[in-house]
Amino acid sequence: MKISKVVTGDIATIDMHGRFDFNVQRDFKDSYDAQLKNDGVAHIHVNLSGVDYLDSSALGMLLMLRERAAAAGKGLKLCKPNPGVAQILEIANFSKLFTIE
Amino acid sequence: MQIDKALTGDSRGLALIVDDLPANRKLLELLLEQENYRTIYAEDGSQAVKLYKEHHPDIIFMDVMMPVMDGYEAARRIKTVAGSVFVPIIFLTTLSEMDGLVKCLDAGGDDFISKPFKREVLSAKIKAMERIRDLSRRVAEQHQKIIEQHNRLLLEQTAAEQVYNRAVTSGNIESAHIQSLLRAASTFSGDMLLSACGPDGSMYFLLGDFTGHGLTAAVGVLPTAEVFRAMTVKGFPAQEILISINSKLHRVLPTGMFLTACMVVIDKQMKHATIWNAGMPDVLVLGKSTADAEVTVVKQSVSSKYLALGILKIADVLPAPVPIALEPGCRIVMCSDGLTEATNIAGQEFGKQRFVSAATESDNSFRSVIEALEQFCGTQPYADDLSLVEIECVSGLLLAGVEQRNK
Repeated sequence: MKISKVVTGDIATIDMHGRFDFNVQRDFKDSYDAQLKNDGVAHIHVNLSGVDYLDSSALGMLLMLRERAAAAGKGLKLCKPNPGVAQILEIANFSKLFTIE
Repeated sequence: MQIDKALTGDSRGLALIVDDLPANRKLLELLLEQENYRTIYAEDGSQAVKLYKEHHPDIIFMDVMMPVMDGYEAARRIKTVAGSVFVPIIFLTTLSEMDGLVKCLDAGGDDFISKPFKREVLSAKIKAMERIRDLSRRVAEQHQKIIEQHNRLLLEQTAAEQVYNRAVTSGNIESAHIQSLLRAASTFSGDMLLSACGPDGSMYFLLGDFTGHGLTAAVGVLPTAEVFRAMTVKGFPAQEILISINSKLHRVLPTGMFLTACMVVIDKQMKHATIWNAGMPDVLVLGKSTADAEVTVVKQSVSSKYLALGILKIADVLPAPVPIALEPGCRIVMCSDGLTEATNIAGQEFGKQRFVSAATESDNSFRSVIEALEQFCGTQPYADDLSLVEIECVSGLLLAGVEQRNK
């Protein structure tokens, strides 16, 4: 799993490529921690277009990010999931918790 | 072969000297005695290997050129026999043999000392070898301790799991018309099946899948079971039971952990079933085809409409599902994603289609699905806890419910 971040204006985009599973925990948290403390960032976008697999631990990680983002007063969006990942998010009914586009 | 010259006091260990020339052996013997080592000797490589096996010396000094078997071959063989035990081998070389030094190390030698021997050099090299040897022994001891501890933990876990499972599943409705399989990926399953009868005769079923597997996943099972049992015995409606379980888990589970579940409530006359699906694969209601009574079809497929339990403070349970009419003999089949996501050796998932296809193959969906799954996955181990439940809505099930209530 490769994770990179880009900040444009007040939006921090976290780009993810590969399998989003239990092994990604540390790296994922490291990728958003700094952005949450950054006053110049108002929104965090997680770009899922490169993610080919998402499991329940990944769902758990997204829930953690959601809680932390809300506590930091930042907006959060999940972006561009491929059909397989979109289906997993749908079964989990995550659209009730996240803005997904 | 001369064995064992005993010294007074504690020796540092036993040294094996391998050299075909008696003069060389004698010299080294004297030096080693001064270093407080007991000595034995061999005249060629073959004797050296034999003596190693018999006496397990702590250090070996090996000449290179010898009849019968040379030092390189002897070193190779001794290292093989020693296995994971570190026995330092110091080659005895002459200046003209310096080119062969690489050969020494390749053969398994740990160091070399050139003749004529200088006492200080020999002493320093022995100390260095002892340091490595002691380190190696410590590692081996620790390794052994880790293995023993691991085995003890496994035994404890297995015992705990048995107690745990009984605590959770005792109280479930027992009936031949309820077939279930809960297969844990390792000890402790994060999947759970709970069933109970209400005071009015209705039957509740809850199949749940905690995030992860193993002990961390199973921790949520007991509190959930407690809430379930306490509320079903009082006849609380399913919605309220789900709300209570959600509250409990929201308090107990850390953020990021949750319970996906499906709950089925069958009314006391078995006319309707209300099915809630929060994050699980589709729940299937199977019955006979209207066109052909021999064929099984999916009458209803209930997909996930609610958020998993434990995420939100206030449970997501609205709008309530519409009750489904049950034909006599129809079957309700639920499974956890460990089943639909089980992979074969090529990495393909069993998937929803194969699941539905196997379930509609016969009038014993439970058996058909398991057969199809085992055939698909072969010897590939299951990465996640998996579960499969089939409820057959026949009068025998109602009777089991009555019996359960009267217990």
